[in-house]
Amino acid sequence: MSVDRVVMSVDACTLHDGTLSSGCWVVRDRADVDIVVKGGERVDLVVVDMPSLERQRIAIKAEAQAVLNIVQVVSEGYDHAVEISMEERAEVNMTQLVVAGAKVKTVAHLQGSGARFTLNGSFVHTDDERGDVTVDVKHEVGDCVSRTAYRGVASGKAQGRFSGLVYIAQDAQRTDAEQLSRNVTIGDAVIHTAPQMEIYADDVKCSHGATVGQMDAEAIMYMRQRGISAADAKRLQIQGFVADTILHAAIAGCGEPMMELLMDKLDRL
Amino acid sequence: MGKDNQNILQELETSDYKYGFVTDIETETIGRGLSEDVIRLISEKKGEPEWMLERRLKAYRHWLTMKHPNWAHLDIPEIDFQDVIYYAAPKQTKKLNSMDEVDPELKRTFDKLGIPLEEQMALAGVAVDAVMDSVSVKTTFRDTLAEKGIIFCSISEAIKEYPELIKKYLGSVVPYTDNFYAALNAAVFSDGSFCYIPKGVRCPMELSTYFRINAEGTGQFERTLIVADEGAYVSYLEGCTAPRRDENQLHAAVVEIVVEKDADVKYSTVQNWYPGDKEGKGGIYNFVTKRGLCKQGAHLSWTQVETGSAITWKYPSCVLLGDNSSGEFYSVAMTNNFQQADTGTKMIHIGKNTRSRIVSKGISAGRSQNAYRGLVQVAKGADNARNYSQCDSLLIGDKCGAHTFPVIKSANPSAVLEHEATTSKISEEQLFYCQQRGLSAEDAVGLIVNGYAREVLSKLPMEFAVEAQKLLSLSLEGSVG
Amino acid sequence: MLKIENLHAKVGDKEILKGINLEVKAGEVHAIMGPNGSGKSTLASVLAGNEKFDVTEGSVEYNGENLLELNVEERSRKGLFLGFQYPVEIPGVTMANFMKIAVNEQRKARGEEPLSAAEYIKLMREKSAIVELDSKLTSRAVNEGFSGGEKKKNEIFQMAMLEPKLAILDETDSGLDIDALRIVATGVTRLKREDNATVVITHYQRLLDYIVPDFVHVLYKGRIIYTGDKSLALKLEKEGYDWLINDYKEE
Repeated sequence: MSVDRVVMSVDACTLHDGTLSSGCWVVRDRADVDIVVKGGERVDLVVVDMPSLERQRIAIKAEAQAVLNIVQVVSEGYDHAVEISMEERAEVNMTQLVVAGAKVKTVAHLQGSGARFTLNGSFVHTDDERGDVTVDVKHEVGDCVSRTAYRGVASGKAQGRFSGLVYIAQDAQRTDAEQLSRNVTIGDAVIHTAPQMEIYADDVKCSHGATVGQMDAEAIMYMRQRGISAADAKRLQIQGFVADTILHAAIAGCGEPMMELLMDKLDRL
Repeated sequence: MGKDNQNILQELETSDYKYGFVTDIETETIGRGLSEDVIRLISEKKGEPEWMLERRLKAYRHWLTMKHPNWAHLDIPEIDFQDVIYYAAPKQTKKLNSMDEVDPELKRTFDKLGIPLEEQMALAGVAVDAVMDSVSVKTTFRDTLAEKGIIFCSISEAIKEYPELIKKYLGSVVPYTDNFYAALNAAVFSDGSFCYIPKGVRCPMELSTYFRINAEGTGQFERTLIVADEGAYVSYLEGCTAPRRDENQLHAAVVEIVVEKDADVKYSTVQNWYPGDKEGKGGIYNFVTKRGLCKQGAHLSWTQVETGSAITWKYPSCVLLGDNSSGEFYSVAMTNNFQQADTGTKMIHIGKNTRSRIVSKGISAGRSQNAYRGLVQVAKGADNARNYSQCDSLLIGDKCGAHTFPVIKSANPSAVLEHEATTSKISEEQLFYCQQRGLSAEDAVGLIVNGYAREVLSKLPMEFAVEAQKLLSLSLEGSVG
Repeated sequence: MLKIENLHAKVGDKEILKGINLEVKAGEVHAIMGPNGSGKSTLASVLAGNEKFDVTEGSVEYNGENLLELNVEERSRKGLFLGFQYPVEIPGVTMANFMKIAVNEQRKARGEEPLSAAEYIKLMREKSAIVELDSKLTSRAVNEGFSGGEKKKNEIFQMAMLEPKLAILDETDSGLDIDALRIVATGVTRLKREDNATVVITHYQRLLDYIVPDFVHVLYKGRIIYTGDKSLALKLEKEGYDWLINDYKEE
């Protein structure tokens, strides 16, 4: 299968797809994409899957002071790779939703001081899917901020895996990095989570956390008092757990369609 | 053990105290290299029964089929296993006439750590007269244990005196098939401690390997087996704060702990691997497999304070096999200069309602690298498993590294597992505050580091805790300014 | 409607309710007051069926049925509503979605058809107006980022949506400013009917200026030690609880 290589230089106000407003681009059926977001510009980018692809690689460069909001929905089982490099004071906000058994790798290189990277993601694996999500954030220079939060649910006989690396180079002082991996399993499903920190600088604020199975029991009681059965309340809570990411999606307009897709998937839990 | 005392005294009397390595005892090295013949010879020299030799050979044959493991974060040069001496006389250390002949650097360390003179001499290998007193102390201590039916002796002795216990428990927690070094150790282990606490007995004192260091010297391939029978309790101490200067480059030890139903074992380690070289050369490679097996309602806690230049590769672990069993791991790992440490723990939840708790504090200074590697694994049937892990790193100076690699694997929906890790440095404000109150920068750092490590230090038995605190402060030398 | 006889309840090893007797009839408003730690919230939790508490003695009859035999959701579906003192957040679950499920559960229990989407939206608009709740809040996650006042209003909104037969409001007035208090109280009063009843648990008298009670009970150390009418509340506000407690001798 031939590889399409497209280089797009994105500035503002270029309409690409009828359902989204201007300043927004959609990557649909390209396997290999190179994107440059010009300095100082504000761009929304949506990445959706096509069943015909075998793998997809997207490389993005956010120039100085560019603001990029990305929504990526993984609904097919092929290999996905997104690599983002950020220059001075660039800002990238990313929401990732994975509802298929796929290998999804996201790497962010913070190469300019003052860069800011945020990734909120959720994965849901049902039946006997095998998922493999990796998020690597590399602080190559100082004074950058990163926040990664991933929520995972696996049910049936599925297996979910999350690996996250926060790497802080030797001179990347005054780095502020946080990584969180929260997971829930149902039935015979298995979850592996491995958040990692590799730190070579000392004046940094870096933390990570990982949980499996931690849900608020008070919330269940609250729902039951409103007449919802214990089982339904638990399911609702887990749905909410994953949906929380979507409610705060990086691109407001994507919220509803993502929610629909997510709800369909959650019905299969 | 009374017999041993006699032997020691005899040996020391007959050997030559001149400077240099001479001995009258009929022990010699068996050349370098490893083969079945070497193993037979080792077993014969130790006077072991046939069944023990068979076990060694079985492990050796299996070892030949295995490959050396490869870990990413450590810089391990190739080890030539044929270039190692697998059997050596029990007494190889030089005998000195008095403390004046001891390396002044070593003596300074002893003084700073507050080690009593007698012990200093014993540790430095000074002549027999000073050691005498310690021997009498040991004798009384053994009587107390004997009254309660507690066995605490060398493994070599246990193989001969208590074969039923050894056959039942040795290799039951770390079988020779477990990993490369476990197989090697099972084939060539020299000696180690054996401890057995009978049902319902609470061991009245902390058992310390210190007493054994004096008697037989440290081996490269140590094997330790601790068994706490149902309802028993023991607190076991390994190591000491005195620097372990060792000629041996390679240590592959195995520690097995069996915690029977409702029993409780506390295993504490304070270790200072003294490098002798601030450039990072001449370090010790320390590969230890330490594992405890907990039966129903059993509890095991590992507490360790490690400093020094070993490329340390040890992951004390708890297999929580029985329902309602629990495991804990508390660790402070301090690295300075060019040292490397890769430490962590494994908690394997198999039974129901099991609990584990991990608190790891890493302190990196100089150009050192400190890595935590942990595994929390929950098997499918481990209903209601609970784990809490906290791994913090403190960086002193900007040329060191701290790394955290936890792995959580859960196959049970009712398990609740939580891991947190934070990294920080000693702030300018904290330092300034202390200095403004009259502390030197170095003292200030020492104070802050001790405060940081407090939660772990508080788990150590009293005397160890005091020594450990001093050790931490000492290890920070040169890291400030 | 509700008949509590000699109710004893404990949490862990600690006994908190030491023999409660209370009768509430349809159309009535009861206020329960008392110093902190007297067991007011425990009583509310026990009636709602919180499994954290164990009932060790006594009985509770609700509309002719044994309430203690029912679990939390069963009690709710029979028309029992608890306004929580500290409403929790439920991340990712929108208010709208949450209420839709709850409302339809209640309807199912009554043998009614679930509401269509349009009917439901209409109901939500209607009910949120009663407590002047910003309709935008319904698309947010339950109680997420709500101020104290908004959370309490949200409780009353839910009460309006579910139309319970017996509403127990646990310290619904705590942490409210005067405006929020008025709105909450007005909401409660507007929901009052001949065939439902309300039990208001409160520490302060001021709520009772708006929600006029038929009976005021004082709960002290796990027992109701005094019952009066609305004038009792005023007296307690002026003179505190001491005069009552000194009169009362513990067995």
